[in-house]
Amino acid sequence: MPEIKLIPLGAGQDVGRSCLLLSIGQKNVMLDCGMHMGFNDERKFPDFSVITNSKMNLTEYLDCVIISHFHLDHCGALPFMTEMVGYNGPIYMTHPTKAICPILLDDMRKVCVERKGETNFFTQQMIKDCMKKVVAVNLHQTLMVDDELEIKAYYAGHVLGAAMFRIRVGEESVVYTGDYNMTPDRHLGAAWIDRCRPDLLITESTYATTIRDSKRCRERDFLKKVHDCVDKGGKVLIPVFALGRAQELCILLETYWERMNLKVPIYFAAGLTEKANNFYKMFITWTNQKIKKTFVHRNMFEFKHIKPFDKQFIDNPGAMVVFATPGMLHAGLSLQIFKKWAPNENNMVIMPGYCVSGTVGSKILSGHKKIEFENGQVVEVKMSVQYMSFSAHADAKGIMQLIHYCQPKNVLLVHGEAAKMEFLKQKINQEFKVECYMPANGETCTITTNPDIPLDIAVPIINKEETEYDQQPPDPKRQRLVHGVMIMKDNRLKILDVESAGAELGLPRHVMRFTEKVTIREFGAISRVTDKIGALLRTRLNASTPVDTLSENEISVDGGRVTLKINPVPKTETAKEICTTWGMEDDELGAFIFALMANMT
Amino acid sequence: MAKALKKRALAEYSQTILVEAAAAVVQPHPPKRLRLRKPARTDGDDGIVPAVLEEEISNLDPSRSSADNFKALSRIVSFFPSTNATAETLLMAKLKTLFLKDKNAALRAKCLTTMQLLKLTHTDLVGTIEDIIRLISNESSSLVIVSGLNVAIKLATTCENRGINSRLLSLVRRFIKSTDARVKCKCLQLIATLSVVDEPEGLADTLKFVHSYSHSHEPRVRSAAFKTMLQLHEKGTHLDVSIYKDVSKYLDDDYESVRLAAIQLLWSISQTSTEHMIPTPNCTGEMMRLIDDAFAKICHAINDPCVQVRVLAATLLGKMPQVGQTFLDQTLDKKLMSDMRRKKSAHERQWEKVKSGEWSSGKKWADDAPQEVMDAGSVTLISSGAAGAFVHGLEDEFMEVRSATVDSLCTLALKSPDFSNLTLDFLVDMFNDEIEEVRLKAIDSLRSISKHIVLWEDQLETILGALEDSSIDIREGLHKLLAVCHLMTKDCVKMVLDAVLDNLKKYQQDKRSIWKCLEGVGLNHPWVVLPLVPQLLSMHPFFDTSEPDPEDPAYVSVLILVFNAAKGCNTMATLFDDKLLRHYHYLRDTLPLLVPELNIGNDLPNRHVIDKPTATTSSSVVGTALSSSASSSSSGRLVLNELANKLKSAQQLSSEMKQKLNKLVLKDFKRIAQVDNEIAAVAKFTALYVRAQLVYSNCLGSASWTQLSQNSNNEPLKLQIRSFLQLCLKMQYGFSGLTPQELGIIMQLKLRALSLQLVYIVRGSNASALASCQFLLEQAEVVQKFLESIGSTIEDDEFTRAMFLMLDQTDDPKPGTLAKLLLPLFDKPVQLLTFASPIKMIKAVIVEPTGESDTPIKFTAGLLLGISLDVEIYNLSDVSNVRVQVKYPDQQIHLLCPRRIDFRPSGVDQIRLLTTIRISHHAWTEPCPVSIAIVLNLSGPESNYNQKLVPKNDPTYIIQLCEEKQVLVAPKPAKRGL
Repeated sequence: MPEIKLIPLGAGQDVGRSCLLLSIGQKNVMLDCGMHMGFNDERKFPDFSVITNSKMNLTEYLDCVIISHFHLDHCGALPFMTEMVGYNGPIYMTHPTKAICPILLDDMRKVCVERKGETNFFTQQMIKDCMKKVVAVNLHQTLMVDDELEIKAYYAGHVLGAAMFRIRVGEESVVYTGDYNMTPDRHLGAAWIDRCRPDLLITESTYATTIRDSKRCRERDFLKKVHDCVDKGGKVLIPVFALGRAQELCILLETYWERMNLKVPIYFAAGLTEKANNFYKMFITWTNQKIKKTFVHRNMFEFKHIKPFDKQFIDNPGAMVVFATPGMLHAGLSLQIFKKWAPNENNMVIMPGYCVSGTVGSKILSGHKKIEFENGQVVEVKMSVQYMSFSAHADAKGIMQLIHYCQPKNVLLVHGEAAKMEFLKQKINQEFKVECYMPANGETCTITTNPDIPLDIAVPIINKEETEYDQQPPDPKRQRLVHGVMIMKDNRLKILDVESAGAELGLPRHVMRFTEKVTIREFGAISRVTDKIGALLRTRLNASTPVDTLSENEISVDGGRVTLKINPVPKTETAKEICTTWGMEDDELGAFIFALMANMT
Repeated sequence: MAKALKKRALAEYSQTILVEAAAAVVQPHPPKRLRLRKPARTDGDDGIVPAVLEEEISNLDPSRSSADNFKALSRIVSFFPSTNATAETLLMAKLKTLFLKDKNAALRAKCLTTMQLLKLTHTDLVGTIEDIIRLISNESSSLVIVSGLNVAIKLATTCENRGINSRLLSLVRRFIKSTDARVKCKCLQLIATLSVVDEPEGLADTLKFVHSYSHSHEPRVRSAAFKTMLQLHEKGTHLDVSIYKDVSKYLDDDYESVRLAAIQLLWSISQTSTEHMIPTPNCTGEMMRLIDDAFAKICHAINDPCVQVRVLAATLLGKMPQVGQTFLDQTLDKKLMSDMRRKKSAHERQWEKVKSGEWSSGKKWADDAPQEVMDAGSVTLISSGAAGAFVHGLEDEFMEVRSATVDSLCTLALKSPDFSNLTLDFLVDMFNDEIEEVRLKAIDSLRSISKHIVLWEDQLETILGALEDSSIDIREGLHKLLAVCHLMTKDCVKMVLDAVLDNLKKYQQDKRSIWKCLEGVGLNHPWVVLPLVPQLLSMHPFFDTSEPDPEDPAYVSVLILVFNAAKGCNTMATLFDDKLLRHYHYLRDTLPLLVPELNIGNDLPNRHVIDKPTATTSSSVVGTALSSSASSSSSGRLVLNELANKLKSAQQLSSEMKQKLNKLVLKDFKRIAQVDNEIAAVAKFTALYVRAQLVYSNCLGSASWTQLSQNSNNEPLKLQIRSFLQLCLKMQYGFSGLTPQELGIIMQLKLRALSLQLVYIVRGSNASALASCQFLLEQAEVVQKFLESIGSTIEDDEFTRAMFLMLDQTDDPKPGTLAKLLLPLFDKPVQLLTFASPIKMIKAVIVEPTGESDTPIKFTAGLLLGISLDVEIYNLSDVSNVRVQVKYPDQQIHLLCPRRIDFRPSGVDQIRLLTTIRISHHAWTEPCPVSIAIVLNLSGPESNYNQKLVPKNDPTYIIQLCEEKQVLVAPKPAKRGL
């Protein structure tokens, strides 16, 4: 039985450092190559030694690398792998991912090298070299990596350019979802896949045990809080990461400002966001219906109300809304602004995402009223602190919906916590009756498949069967039979009719014929008897079976399917011997004629 | 009957007048119809077309190559439909031979499709179909069969011949055995269109036969089979319940076309056998109603990967009102959880806050933290049944799905009060949709289900939040919603009032809509408003507060709310103090529609002052009638009739006396129009009619008419004729609700005016009368046609009759001759008539600009200034002639044509024009007023768009619909050196 093997190098029962090794039909594919944001040592990157230990280098071992989207936990280790470990094979990602990924990688490099002072990190040049190895793919474009390996991208929502990939080798196929979102948001559509029935679906399961409320409530809540605050003249701080949710919130506020005709300034403080926004403007086709439809009049990413931030604005009087990086308030501009604004109770900070414990963000969220900083500075938090979840992952219902869409034969869960996966696994077993796996990091998961076996059938056979079947209205219970000879040759299966099969195999065809003799009493010459029998046959058989008299003692029925030979029986005058001969497939006709002859006497 | 054809040399049109032989003229001569006909185009090419065509047709030959023939055939097809009969017969024959001789499938298919283009009579049709049946019955190429069947369907539906249909159907039974899916689909389509309805047994068999094809392995055939079944069902076949199970299997088909057709069919079955019981899907032996099961299945389709399927599912859900309440309630149910713990939805949380009377602390992080742990087994992730269908539909990526879902929610909620309470939260959520159409739809839906729902603070808060929207449609929709919904507490009313007052401050232009809204709120909640009154009117138990300005829109808003509430709550009136009563009377006069009649303050002495007749009436009848009861409509009518009778009885009087009488009566009519609203339009109309008579007799009586010559000064006469014409136009276009007869009278009058004009032009001026003459003839024809179309029930105007007679007899309608012949006809008197039909006057009111602003609007000279315009137009059905007239101080007049989409219907017989007009001018030294008015510009339709006839902006053809409003503008010269 053919097998599909999968080893998670990261993201097995875990979130972060997504990296999966897939072996399918003698091909090895790496799915995502991310880094872990939580670690600063070598655990940051996936352990490529699993491959290199087996005395092969990466280029020899891997047929291709596929990157699902530009988040660093999905592509962060790419330059490390290609340039420092060494890999020269093809890398596949979508166009927006290819465009935005290097910006993020470079930003991360700066943070690691310049702030944290890490050595032995990849350089800017390495990012560039790495990107040269990337092949960009379009949505729904079927791309042949080599003669057998085929990949195809589907829309995944989540962030701009996120894609799900279908990998196919021969009759086996795997779908890798990356991160995806089944509910549309303000700038992206919902993930979509056709009913491709893969052997294995590898899906993320971040929110395996969550069913989310309608997004509209969340949005409305968010907008209302911001609006109320600026109405009172307060300042709103929204710490965000540069890409992804930030754009979502920008669009949300921008359209709201437009609708409500508000004049309060909105600022966005981040250098790389501006660069990224340019790409957002370009990749309009990757966004949702509304933006796609209206971009002719106005590109939604050309913000009218959102202006770049300058540090001097911090002390400006009056209401304003500021987006600032980073998202967890642990450093940088957002922290700086926070320190200034926190003591005023009119102000507000909205945390749009999850905060790692230990950061200022998580402290204020858990209700700390006084924050002490490393330099001994103490800031009193009087501003209101709000939490809004704007996550773009599919919830449990969404995951089930995707499984329903593509109808896989096996499901494998990654990118989630083990306990939550356990629940979802059980549900998938119950609802879809399919096997579900959840390997841990480094654990090899083997899935045996029951692939369909392709088979060539000669067209005339099919046509014949079909014509016959179509004589009556279709009935699902009626059997459909094909008569032919199956030949296994050169690793291929064929069904042919008997003659061609003989020709194909170089075998002569053996024919089995039955001959029965009957003796009748009949006077006269042989030819007269022959004529008499011929006349008899003509009357009894219908017109479609012609009866021919071949010679004076030979009659052929229906072009030789049955032949009759009349011989005189030696030593008698009256008896004649009739030999009736017919082939096996004409048994019915032969038997009928024989019975006719037998009854003549 | 002799027909003489006369051609006028000078015009582009040739005109055919059918004239009866002179001998046949007897006295009661029925007017003959005039007919103008444009001659068939005789362009240069036309002569060649048939020749080329014929050549092409004769060149069609089986001996040529198939490709050549195909090309030739394509060229021939491009000539259709301008071909003649002989060419077509030839072509038909050629096509048949070509079909029989040629081997190429594409060419033969083309032959068949060409056949349907031929203009065929009924018998030909039958023959052609028979030919086609013969031609394709031994065919093997599926392309040819498909196109043959296609043509057969088209032709057979037009000819509707039973015999042919049944022959086709039996042919189809044979072809359906073909292995080609296209042929099968075509066959099914043919069965669907041609099966006869009145044989129930045969149809049931057909249905069974078709149904078996829904099991085909080919998706196209499957969906065609479902569609055919659906069509047969629409024709009246009963869909048997037994197929329900089979059909529902295909709801999960791989192909969306099949799913689409299957869902539709499933719905049809559910509508016919609603109450049929079927076993529940979990095989416990329980039974459920078929409609419920179908509902659940269609709900499931709302998660389909294909958008069209989702839209269809969302639409169909709204069409299943018979579904059970539990299933309905499930559609909005989505169990939330977070990390395996039950979580309350935002709606539930808000609701709890309201219930407990405590408002959000807002401070605590994760105060929406999930509570109880859920049992893993009890959670269903796959939506079984109807669960959460609408929730999904409302969150869909595509607006088509969302708006279909909103519609369905609304229709279902209308049927069930319980469900409408559930939908409320979700509809309110949709106010936040990113697409305005959907938001608007949500607001409208909420309004229509408002009778079932009661709003609480939490919901109201979100609704009111949307009031700040910059789109006027959204705001006005919300105002309308608030006017009809029920509010639970007095705090709610206060919230509404505060919100709309904020809204008023921000968007002044919403004033009227807000007043209307508060009127509704007041009427709906008299007892809830009562405790708020002192606070609203800032009354103090023992201090006198300062008197607010009764012109302040915000104060007026509050007063409207209070007065309307007071209507349903008698005790409230006791709270009102003197100044409030004064304000009440003031508002009652200025805004009678918004402020109801209250039983207060009758002691005020000068109350009825306005109703008393002030004008001195000349006629004693009017005087008495008015004094007895000014506003009673029956007496108003009485007066009208009386006046009309008076005019009739005055026929014998001398013309001078008549004129005097007319003038007096005219005055009376005008007065009636002022006094009695109900018959104002009729009175005005009659007044115009009388006035037209007056002007007409003035014209004829004037000295310049009797001695009409080109040398004398005819200017006054010209003006009078014009005003006569304009009066006619005003009567024709300025009113709606005229009966055809009345319209006929007016049109005849107009014809008279045009004749008068023609005679004047010929006799009294040196201008060319050709165009006017032509136009008069055209108009005469129009009038005649119109009179014929409404039947000859009316007594023709003597003038018209004589004129038609004259036109019939005239061989040579040249201006001079016509004028000579028309001249004696003018002595025929104008009919005296009374008008009784419910005539409505078309009028407009400019709401904005108000014309009260003293501050000039400044703009740079030569550039554009946009002035927003808000107009209510009443009783107008056709907006194509509506123009905005802008009159500049230098007497320049511009007519601006508003965009079609700026007209929005806003109630019965009411259109709202909401637009921005752009004006521009050179620099002025000081601000000057620009007058804006709404007019009907009739110069186009009334001159057949012949620009020679009407000078540009001729005021004769412009009917003003409203009072002019003035806007003070100041174009400033552009600054140099910028």
